Amino acid sequence: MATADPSLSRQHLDEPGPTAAPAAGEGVPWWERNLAWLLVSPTILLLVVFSLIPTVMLVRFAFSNVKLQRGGFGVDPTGFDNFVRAFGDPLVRDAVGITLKWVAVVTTAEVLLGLALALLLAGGVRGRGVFTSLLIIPIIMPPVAVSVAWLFMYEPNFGVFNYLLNQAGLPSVRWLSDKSIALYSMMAVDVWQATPFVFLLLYAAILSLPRDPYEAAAIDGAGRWHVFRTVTLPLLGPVLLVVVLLRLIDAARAFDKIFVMTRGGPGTSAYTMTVTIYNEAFAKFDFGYASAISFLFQIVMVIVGTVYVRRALADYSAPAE
Amino acid sequence: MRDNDVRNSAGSSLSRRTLLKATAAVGAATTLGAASKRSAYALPTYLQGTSLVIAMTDGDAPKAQPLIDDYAKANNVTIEVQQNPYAALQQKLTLSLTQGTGDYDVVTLDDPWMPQFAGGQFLMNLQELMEKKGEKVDPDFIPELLALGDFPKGSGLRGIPWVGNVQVFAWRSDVLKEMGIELPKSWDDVLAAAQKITEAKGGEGLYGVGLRGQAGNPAATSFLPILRGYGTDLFNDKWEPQLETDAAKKAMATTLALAKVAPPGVENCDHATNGRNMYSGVTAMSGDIWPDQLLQIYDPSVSKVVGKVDIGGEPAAEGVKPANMTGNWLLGIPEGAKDPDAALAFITWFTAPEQQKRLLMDQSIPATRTSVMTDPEAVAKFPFLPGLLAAAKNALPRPRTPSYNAVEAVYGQYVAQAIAGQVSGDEALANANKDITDIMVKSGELKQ
Repeated sequence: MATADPSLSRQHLDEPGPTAAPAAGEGVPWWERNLAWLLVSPTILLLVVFSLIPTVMLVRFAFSNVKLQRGGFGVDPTGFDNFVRAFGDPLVRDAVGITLKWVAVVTTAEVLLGLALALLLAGGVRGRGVFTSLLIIPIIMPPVAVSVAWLFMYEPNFGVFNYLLNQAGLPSVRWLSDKSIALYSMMAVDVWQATPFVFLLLYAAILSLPRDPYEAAAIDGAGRWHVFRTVTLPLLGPVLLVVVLLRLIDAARAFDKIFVMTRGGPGTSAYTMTVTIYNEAFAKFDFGYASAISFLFQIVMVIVGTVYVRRALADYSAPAE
Repeated sequence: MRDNDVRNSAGSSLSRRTLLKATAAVGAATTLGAASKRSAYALPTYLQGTSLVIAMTDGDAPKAQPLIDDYAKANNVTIEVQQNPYAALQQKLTLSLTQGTGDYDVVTLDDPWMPQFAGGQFLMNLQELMEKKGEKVDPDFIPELLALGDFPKGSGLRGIPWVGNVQVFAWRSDVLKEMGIELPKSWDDVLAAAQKITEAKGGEGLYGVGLRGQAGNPAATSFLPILRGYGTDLFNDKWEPQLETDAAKKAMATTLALAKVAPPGVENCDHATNGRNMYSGVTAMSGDIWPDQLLQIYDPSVSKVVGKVDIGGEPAAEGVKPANMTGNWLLGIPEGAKDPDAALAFITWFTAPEQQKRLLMDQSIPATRTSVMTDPEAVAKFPFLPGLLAAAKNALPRPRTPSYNAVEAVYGQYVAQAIAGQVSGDEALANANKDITDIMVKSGELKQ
């Protein structure tokens, strides 16, 4: 470590160096010798307390029948029973499908809409400062407040959406209580709130793109679509990949909006993985089973994230020949 | 008309039996209430200057706060009230009480939680604490509600009831009269009446019946009185689930038929929505109405149906005893609490008649004491109190098993799936029966 070497300490950098360096560590206080460790130790401590220990407990619980008892947990090892149960549980099977559907729809919609908005406003639309400010509002609103507001707008009897439909002579829609519609209604809320986040990142990225390729394309007479496809999109690639990864992870963890608006209903038709895990752990208090599902979910997420990041790095970090 | 019908609107009539019960209760209250006056209650010197942390729901905490402030000021006690939504409170208490974290000195508990917390001896035996101080439980408490704190029965009180919630059947007397419909006695009658009302008035925004279809506690709480109304319960006396019986299948078929004539959105209907539908005149009947909703129904500032709603016992098939369901809140002291004497002193003060009446009159919290429920001033303000008292005396708790939370989550989930059309009624019952059997076997309450 640089700071452990007295020859590199500030004092020695500021003054002409001695011809013979003292023995390593001699005369240097302990905290300076271990400065790097001291600086990272709070982070390591937090990771151990809030990530490592819970993960170890999660794995232990996943292979056990866990009972709450006075002063602790009663943990009876059950081998792979919880995992076998999870693979045969229709609720978990459905939750996997619902989560995949949620992730695919909201991520696609948010990225496409965010990109479209970013391109539109970066293109010099009048009043883009106002639009940008307005688009920030959904991001800063707490998800629970957003969910409650939309819950009232979706209300079947006095909600504003049905009122507008009725005013237009159309029948009311059971936005949150029809099992074929409810999930999409909640996706719309997520899209409404998360799209501006995508927009902001992409908008900033577009504004920072180099102008030379665009000027060259203009000289070559390239059309707007051609410029977008061959210049903008490749240049935006790294940012776009990060944005997609962030949205994928966030979408897979979807919980707050679904829980506030329908608690996973109607019935269990919006039970995503997180809602299912919550329900098993904190409604049924079956911590062993909930841990097993959670462990499986965590493994899948780590694999997907790792593969995605490696792929992205492979595409964008190869040295130019 | 059923024996326990209560006409509560101005100028309407009480049934003879209820009137007799109410009169008897007034007499009892006059005798017992006098012995339990605690207006001048003051803490002994050694408890002054202590501090308490109380866990409550976010619904009750603001209502209790004025009383808590007065107590704290009068006795130089520091009180911190930690409020949580219902589900969060249940989770926090489950972890805190079982792990003995000592986070709370006083906790408020829904009565279905008592078997889990009292049965696991995670709460202190209040009776023993009282006896050590030479005190006794005041007989003014409604015995059926007081008994909710005693689990297993006879092991001693581990909770004192302070919110006298009882589920009732409520109906729009004006609608039934206008349509020439007799007051339903059974759930079959309710269904026939609901179908008639929705058919005739659904277009005007009035639906026959309201029930809750949201998965978990909501759907379970609407379904249980229907199940009991058909003459069965979740368990028999050996703790074997009874959801694949003919009676359960009839109850499920009725529930699903009722859902079809309920207001749109029944699949996600929760407690607040069901109450709002009743007081805003959207539903004509509901078997899942609670006192907090009754108070809204009688509040002219929010209700469109003041004086038009009557309440009574839950409908039941011929030969089945009608019964309401308790949903009381109790105060307990967690094992390991740092100052049980100070906690008990607070509970004793908070559940005394004067505080109970203040909670009822100022905050619309139904009392758990006979003297308060029959107090003339309170009855004048809330005419349904005699009916509520009668319902409380006739009420059954939910099955008293420490596994009830998990059991409720399971059957509440399957009933909701059936209401949402994800599975058939029979399939829901079969799945629920199987999962509940597994839970009971796993907990050791059912031998196989």
